[in-house]
Amino acid sequence: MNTPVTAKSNSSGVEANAHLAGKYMAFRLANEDYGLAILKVREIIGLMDITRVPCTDAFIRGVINLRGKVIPVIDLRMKFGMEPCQTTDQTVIIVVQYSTTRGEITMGVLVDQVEEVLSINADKIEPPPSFGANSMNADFILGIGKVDKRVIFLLDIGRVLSGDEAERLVQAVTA
Amino acid sequence: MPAFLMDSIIEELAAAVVMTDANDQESIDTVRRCLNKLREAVQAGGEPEELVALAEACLALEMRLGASGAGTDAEDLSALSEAVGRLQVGAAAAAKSPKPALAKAMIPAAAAGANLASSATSPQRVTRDEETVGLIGEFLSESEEGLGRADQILMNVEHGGASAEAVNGLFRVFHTVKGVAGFLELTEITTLAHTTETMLNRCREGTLKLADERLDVVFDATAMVRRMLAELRVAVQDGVQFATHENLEGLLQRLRALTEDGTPVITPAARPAPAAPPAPAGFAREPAPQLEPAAMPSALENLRQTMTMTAVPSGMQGPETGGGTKLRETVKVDLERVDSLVAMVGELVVVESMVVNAPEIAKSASARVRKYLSQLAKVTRDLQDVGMGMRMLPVAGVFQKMARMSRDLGRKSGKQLRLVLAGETTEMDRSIVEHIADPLVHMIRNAVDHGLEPPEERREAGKPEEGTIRLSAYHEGGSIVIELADDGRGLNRDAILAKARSQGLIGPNDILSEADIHMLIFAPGFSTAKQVTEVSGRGVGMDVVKRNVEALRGRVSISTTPGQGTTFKLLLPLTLAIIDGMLVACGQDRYIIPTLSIIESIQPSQDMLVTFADRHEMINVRGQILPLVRLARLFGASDAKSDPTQALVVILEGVGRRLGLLVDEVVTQQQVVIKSLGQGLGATRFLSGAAILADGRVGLIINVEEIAGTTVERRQWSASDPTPAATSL
Repeated sequence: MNTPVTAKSNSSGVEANAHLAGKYMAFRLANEDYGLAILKVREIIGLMDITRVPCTDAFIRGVINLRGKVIPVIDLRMKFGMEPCQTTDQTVIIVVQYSTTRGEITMGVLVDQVEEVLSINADKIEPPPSFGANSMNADFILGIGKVDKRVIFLLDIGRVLSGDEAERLVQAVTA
Repeated sequence: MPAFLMDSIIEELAAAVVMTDANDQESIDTVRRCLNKLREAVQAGGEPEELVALAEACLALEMRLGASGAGTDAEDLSALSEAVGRLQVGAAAAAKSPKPALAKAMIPAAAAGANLASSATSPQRVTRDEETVGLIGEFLSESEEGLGRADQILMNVEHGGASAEAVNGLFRVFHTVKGVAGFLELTEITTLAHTTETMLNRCREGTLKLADERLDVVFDATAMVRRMLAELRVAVQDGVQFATHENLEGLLQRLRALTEDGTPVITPAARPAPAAPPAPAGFAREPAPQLEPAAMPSALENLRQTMTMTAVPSGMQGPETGGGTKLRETVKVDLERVDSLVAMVGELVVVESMVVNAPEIAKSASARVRKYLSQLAKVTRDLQDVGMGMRMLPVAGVFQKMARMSRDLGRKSGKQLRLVLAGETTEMDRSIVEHIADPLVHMIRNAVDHGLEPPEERREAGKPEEGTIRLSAYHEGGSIVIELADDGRGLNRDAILAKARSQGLIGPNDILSEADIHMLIFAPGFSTAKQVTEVSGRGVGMDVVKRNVEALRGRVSISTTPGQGTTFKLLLPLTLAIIDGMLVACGQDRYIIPTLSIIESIQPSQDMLVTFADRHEMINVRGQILPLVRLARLFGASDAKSDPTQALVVILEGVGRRLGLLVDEVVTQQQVVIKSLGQGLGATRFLSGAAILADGRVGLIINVEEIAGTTVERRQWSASDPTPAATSL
């Protein structure tokens, strides 16, 4: 008797996540795997000189010269309240582009290491988790991808980088 | 409700309406707020019924103001402005007598205005084919150019008398307008242009003289055509019928009467001329009609119209050329293409300097390579000049608008004035030219209203009754100066101080330098005017000047001599795309300071350094005590030099205030292409942008105005800094 019910709830979950299925750029922060929708990723560049911008949030590493265009670079580890990124030869900047109400934003995201481009099917994507009532808002997580026993947090980069959500997140984690 | 409270609400409303721009939602919201206040005041009761009726006429128009985003058209605004004008007059009358006949008499007019407004809300929709729209577009831009030329000629005629050439020039303008308008079946414009042309033709034949009343009517006709063109533009954009014009008949009658026998006819809508500039010798002037209440709203409307006059493409009109203008061959190019070309040239300049300065090249270059490189540098420089030149426009167009406006202002304020223009051919970046008109409007209004004295006062002071305002543009160093000098009464230091104290802008015991006192007039809401006039005095103008000029990375300075006049000097960059900057080092970081803001740089000796309470650092530069700001502390750099005598102090000036900025050293001086810092950084105080340096890294450009402003506002901020270095010198 229980079987049809489970099947139904599963299928609706799959339907809800159908739009999430696609290719993701997988990267690492510390020991965790994350993914960014490939359509938001413009390019990956090696670490270059970052000019510190004073009087900005700590997670903003500064600005770089991307072929004549000045773009900000953020340290995703610091944004998530982790230890600042220690640069190694694996450290790269993922250049993302997303649109907001204020227009297109191009931004560099400093990550420990990029891994590969993964194709994730809807049935391998779980809805975002809840971190409990009074802890952080998980709005910026689109879902959780399961690939080869790995768990990949699929990020909505626009949400991560803009708005109060992210602000509150930092406060919640550091508090 | 006490009468003065009602008065102040009406005043505020009138101020808001005058400042309203149909495209500026914020200003429209301000008007709405004022209308709400008025509604509350009326609902509270106790007002004379006449006043209530007038107020209701204004309120009836409120719904025609576009809700957020919906847009508001100029016609709605002018209807509102008329209604408010009537309300003002009514309120003034109500204050004089308890049972005002005048106010009562105005109710029907006000109601008619409201009715007209409501009947006009649904103009008939018209579909125009693409070709017609294209033709109308061309007609609009051509006519606007022509009207600009007409204004210039009219002003020359007003001062120097009519010449055959001038009359011909005017005739041609109206003739062209008539021709094309006729073709486009714009009956009203055609009729007006035709009637004006007929009169001008008589002047051309020599049977009539273009002066006085006839000159005025041509001025009015130009203004009317311009207004109708603006309405036409709106009508085409909205795809509605071109509305018929109410005041046209009066103007046509005046024109016809003046064509027939030359007897001046004063219709109620005639432009009052209490302060016409003195007519050239030999021309008698008609006695000026009294300023009638009915003329008020239309005057108000004129004023706004002058302020929103559409930009006339310049470069066509030489100064003082009258009717004969020299045409330059021009090509129309998409602005975006020009901009991208200029941006690429900017990049080229940077890359060129990267190549030339690369250590590998410097090390290995032979004499021949060096020669080629210097050639490359020269060509790049030339290319940059040409590229910049493509964005340049002479300031003549803007100056011309100011001339027209000052004429109208002089007439409204009852002061005689002459605007002398100089250096109209000076060229500036087109985006600067576009943004300079607004501040100039406010500055001229300010000069007319506060600067120049009324004729009697001038006579007593032994000055010519006619005040002179000199508007000039010239190059100074690497920047452009726009100077506005009046020969009026000068700034009243004590009045400014007293007003600033009463407004709480400064403390009762604050000691301010002369420059600081002058800068007070730029504070928002500051006005020493005892009376708010139609022209100015509401304290909204000068802060606009300051904000706009600073947005253009320019500076404002004031010099004034009591009794002799005031000079405002706007120091503007040649272009917005490139600045001359000084690259300074502070610890590991490099920053660019705009050379325009730098007065000098000095290596201080120990005896120049002063501290107060061991924390507030100051530097004594030849007797001038300036606050000393440590860039390292401001920007949180840890590895900068802490001993000022080992470092360098750059003396900067921003918002009229000087300060010393402590940096480690000056690295070099270079031109940089300004880039936006990009979105997503959040607020970047103290920085105005970024630039790619010669080594390909990003350099940050320091916002001197912000630092200077902050230093003076919060003198204690070095004390609040937790760094232990704060106490060590």
